[in-house]
Amino acid sequence: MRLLSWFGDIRLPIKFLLVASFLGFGLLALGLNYQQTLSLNGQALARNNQLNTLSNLVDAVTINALEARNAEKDFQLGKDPKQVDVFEHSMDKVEEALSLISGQLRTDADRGVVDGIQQQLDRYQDDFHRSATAKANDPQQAQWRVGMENAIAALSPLMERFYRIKQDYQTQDAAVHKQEQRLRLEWFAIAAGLMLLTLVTAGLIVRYGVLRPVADLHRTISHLADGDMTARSHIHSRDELGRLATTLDRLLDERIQVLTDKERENAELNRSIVALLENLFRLGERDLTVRVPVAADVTGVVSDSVNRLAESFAAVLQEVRRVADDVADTSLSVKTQATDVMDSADLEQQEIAQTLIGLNQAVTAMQSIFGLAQNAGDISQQTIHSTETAEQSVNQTLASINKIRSTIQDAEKKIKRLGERSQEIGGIVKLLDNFSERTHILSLNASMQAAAAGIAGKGLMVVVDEVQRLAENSREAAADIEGLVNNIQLETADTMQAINTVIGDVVAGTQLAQQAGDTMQATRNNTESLVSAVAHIARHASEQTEVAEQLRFRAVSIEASAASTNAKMQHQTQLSETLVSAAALLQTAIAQFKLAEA
Amino acid sequence: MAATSEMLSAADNQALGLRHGIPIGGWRLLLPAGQAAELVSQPDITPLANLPTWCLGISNWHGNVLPVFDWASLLGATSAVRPYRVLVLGTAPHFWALCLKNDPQRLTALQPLPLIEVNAPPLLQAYLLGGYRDGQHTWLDIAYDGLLLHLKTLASLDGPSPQTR
Repeated sequence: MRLLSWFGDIRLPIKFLLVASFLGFGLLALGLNYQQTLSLNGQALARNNQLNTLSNLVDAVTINALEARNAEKDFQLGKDPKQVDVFEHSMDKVEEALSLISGQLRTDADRGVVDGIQQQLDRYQDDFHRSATAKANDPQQAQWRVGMENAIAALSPLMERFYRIKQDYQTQDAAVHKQEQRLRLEWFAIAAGLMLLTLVTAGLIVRYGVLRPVADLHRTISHLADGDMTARSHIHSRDELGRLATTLDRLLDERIQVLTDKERENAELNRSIVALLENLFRLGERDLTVRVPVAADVTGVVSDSVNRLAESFAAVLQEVRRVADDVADTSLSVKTQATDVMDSADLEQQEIAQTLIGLNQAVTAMQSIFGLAQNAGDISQQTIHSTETAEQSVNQTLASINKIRSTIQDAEKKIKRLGERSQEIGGIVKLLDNFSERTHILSLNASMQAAAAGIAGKGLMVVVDEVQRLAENSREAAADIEGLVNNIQLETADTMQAINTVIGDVVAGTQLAQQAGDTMQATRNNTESLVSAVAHIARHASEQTEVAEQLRFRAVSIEASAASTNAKMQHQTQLSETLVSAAALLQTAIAQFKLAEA
Repeated sequence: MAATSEMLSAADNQALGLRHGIPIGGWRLLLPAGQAAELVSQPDITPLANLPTWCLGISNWHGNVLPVFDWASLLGATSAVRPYRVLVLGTAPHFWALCLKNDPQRLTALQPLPLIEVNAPPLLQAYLLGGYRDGQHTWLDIAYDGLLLHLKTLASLDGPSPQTR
């Protein structure tokens, strides 16, 4: 329904408004029809009531007229005054009914009939009143009775007409009612058609403007619920449902894209997790060289942490292995040292035994030392005397050497002055050399000037030659003098060096003599000390003998202590062996792990 | 007039048989005939910027500012070392000086050589006037003015030279 597709662009409120308008129009039409129906029914009912009223009034007129006639007849027969009252009463009712009937009549002709009836009844009633009030033998009684009979006779056709009025009215009402029914049916048909039209239009509006888009949306959502992610509403109308559908399609596209990305990320994450688990398994197999690949997803942090943990653990194991190696080496060294110490302790014990033997011998020796010390004291006294004599000789030698040194120092000063003079001569020689150099240059310049002057320079050339020879001779003399001065300076330097050497030797000799004197003095002092010391030695020798005895006793104790130390060293050796085996076990345990080569 | 006197001086020199020569860079050059020269010992040389290495600078000689050259490095030999011995050449007011390693030599009894037999360095070939033999060595007679002009072109030397006036 492309013609109605433009409904899709109309906004929903407007659509519903249109639908409501159409429905309202239809309802309005039905309502008007109903209202007209009700109106017609009311009119028919009114007419019916009117007819019923008319019929009742006609019946009332007829009945009361008959009662009045009967009352008249009875009065005529019995001259009962009550019958007059009855007559009057009935005639009043007839009159009342006739007056009411006039209001029910529709035409003037009909009202003329009722007037005619009223007139006749009035004549009848008048005649009756006259007859009733007159005497029975009143000659007008017959007239009056004829008049009443004439009135009654005139009433018959009027009464028939009167009865026909009702029937006419019923016929008319029936015709009107029939016509009205036909008209009502026509109006109902029109209203129904309009209603149908509005319903169809509203249905179309709702169908294509609301239900169809909603059905498309529902179908799309159902397909999505069934797993068809490619389902789309493809609704492009510009009403609220169209915008909702467009938004839903866009949302689905975005969500599908997000889900696709999530699936891809999950696949990558799964692969990363599988790789991580594989590497963790290998790590569990004690292969610490494994490194988990670090991905860019969540597992990357875990992989990095695992790698760092493995590295830390490997580093720790490396360190532990190194420490274990060091401990093993150290244990072996300790064990070796303990063995060596034990051997040393054995040797020490042997030495101590030997020392004991030696101490015994020392005691014996101390006693002999005492005797020898006394002899040494006498010899030392003689040595002191000899030392004093040697000291005097050394002092005399020292004085002679000092004298020689002063003489040599004077000679050194003179030679220094000689060197200074030769340096002065060297300066003068340099002046001579400079003079000769300049003279040479002068001669060259003069030669060149003379050469430039040509013949005129011939005489100058003689002077130039002489100056040149003078410069050369001067240079040669300066060179000779310089050579001599250099030689003098060299020899002076050599002489100075020799003198310094002599001075050094003299100083050394002086020092030696001084040392000899000091040594003599020290020797004397030492000898004196020696004498006193010898005396002390003699005195202490006996004391040392006692000390030696004590040492022998302590040596025995030391021997016992050495034996105890030996036993402890054996125990330490056993502990070292235990430590070595523990280090080996540790190395074995660490060897289970595969580590990177350091 | 000056050229005539120079020619007469050259003739007299030849008659005297006296020339002076200077060894430079392994070669032996004769001083210009008829020109006075002066040997100066250890002059004050002021170096100038943006000059080639064979231009040592300028010096004040009796109030004259003259350029000092070291042709030894120009002829491919080692440069002269301080203290310099400088030989002033040229005529007033275009004096110039050469740095020497050895003193000029007096030369007598020079025998002239055919020009075709004279061997000279490429730099001096174009300015060679002639060659002489003193029995042991060959001495080159050079046109110093032309050579100075050529060197001036080489170094864009802006100073007194024999060809500037």
